[in-house]
Amino acid sequence: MSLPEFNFHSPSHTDELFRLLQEFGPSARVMSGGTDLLIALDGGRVHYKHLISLKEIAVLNGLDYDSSTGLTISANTVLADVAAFAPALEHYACLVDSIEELATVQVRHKASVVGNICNASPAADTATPLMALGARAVIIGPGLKREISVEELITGPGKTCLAEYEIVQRIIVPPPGEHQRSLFLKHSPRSRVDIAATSACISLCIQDGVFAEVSIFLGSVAPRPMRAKQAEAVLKGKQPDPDLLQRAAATAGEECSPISDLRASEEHKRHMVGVLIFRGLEQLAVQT
Amino acid sequence: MNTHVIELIVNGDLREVAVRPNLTLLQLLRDHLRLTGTKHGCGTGDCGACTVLLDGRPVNSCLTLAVEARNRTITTIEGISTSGTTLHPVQQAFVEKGAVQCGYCTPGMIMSSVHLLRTNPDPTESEIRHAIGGNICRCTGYTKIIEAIETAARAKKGSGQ
Repeated sequence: MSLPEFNFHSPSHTDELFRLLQEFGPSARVMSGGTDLLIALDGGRVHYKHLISLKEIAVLNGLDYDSSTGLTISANTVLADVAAFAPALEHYACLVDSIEELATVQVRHKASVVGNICNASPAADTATPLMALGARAVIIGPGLKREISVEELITGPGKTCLAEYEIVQRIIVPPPGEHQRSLFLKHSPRSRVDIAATSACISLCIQDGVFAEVSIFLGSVAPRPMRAKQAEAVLKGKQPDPDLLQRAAATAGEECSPISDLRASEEHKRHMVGVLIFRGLEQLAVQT
Repeated sequence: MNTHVIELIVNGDLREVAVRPNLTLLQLLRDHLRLTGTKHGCGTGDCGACTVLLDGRPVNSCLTLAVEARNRTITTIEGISTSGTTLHPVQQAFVEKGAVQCGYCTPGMIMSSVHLLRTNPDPTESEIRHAIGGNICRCTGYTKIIEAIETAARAKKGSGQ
C-alpha cells in the first residue's frame, strides 16, 4: 500500500470535529476504523486532503443495552465488540450473524458498525439486519441533532443523506418484540470473508397462526439495501404454508433489481434471493 | 502533510517516533523499527500476513495508520515469547507439526492463533478455521496449521496457563 499524502487530525471533542469539518468541507473525510477508506485512498478511488479520526472523541464510544431503549451502538464501536456483547447475542442474533459473516477477524476488530453503514455499500452486511430490526441513526452536527431510520440513511451506492458537516453519533436498535424472530442469510462465492453476492434479513412475528409483522430486507441486489415490500405483502395476515413461502420467495426474487458482476449474474442473484428467502421463512416459521 | 510525533509501546518497549500521516503501521514496524517478522502480503487486508496485536486485538497492520497507534500497545511476532530464548507454545507447535512451508504466512497465522487461544482456550476445529479465515496460506492446505493450533491449545491446557 502506498497511500497518497493527506493531513491527519484527531480531535478530542465534537466542537473541534465540527470546526474541522466546516473548515475543510469536501476535502475532509471522517474515519473510525478506516478499513475501507484506506483501500479506496490507495486505489485512487477517493481523494481527501484531510482525514479526521473520531477515535479520541469520548462521546462516540460505547455499547449499551437496556430493555426499554434497546441496543445502542456508538460511532467507534467495532464489529467484534457487538458480536461478543451478551445482550446482542441474546436479543439480536441476526445482527450478530451478519457480523460473523463480515470480512475477517482482523477487520472486525478495527472496522465499526457505523462505518459499515455510512460506507453505504449495497452489500453492507450489517445494513439489512439493522433495517429489518427498525434501527435508527442519531445524527449530530454543529448545533444540531436529528434522528432518522437506518433505511433512510443510505440513499445509493456509497451515498448517504449526511451533510458534509454531519456524522452518525450512534445507532439505536429497538428492543425486539415478544414474539419477534429474525435471521440473516448470505450467499457468496466463498463462505464468510467474501462480499455477499446476495444477502437477506427477515424479521417477523407470527401471532394467532398468521404472519402479523414481516420485515424483509435484501442486500447486493439493488443500488442500496432494499425492502422487499411485495414479498412482505404476500405474507401478511396469512398462515404459513409451503406454497405461501414459495410465492413470497419468488416475489422477492422478482422485485429486486440486481446487476451482473464478478460475484454472480443477475439471473443467479434473483434465483438465490428466492432460495435464501424460502429457507429463512421456513426456518422462522418452524421456530415460532 | 503534517508530521506527528507519537509514543507507542512495541513488544514491551516504549518507542517515540515521528510519522507522516500516510505511513501504515506495517511500514513503521518493518521499515523504521526493523521488525521484519511482520510480513507485507497483499496490502489490502485480505491475506493476514501483516497481522499484529493492537491493544491485544488482531488487526491488519497494512490497514492501520501508524499515527493511529499513538499511545497504543503493539505486539508483533518478535514479541510473543516472554523469555526471548524459548518459543511461544504456538510457535513451538507450528515447528513440531510441520505447519510451516514457505513461512511467509506464518507470523500472521501465529498472531491470529495467539489471539484465538487467549480468548478461547479450547477451540473446536470450526472455531479455529473461523479464527484463521483472514490468514491465507498457499502452501500447507491448512491441515498442519490447524493441527498445530489444536496442539498448542492442549499444551496450554496441560500447563494450566
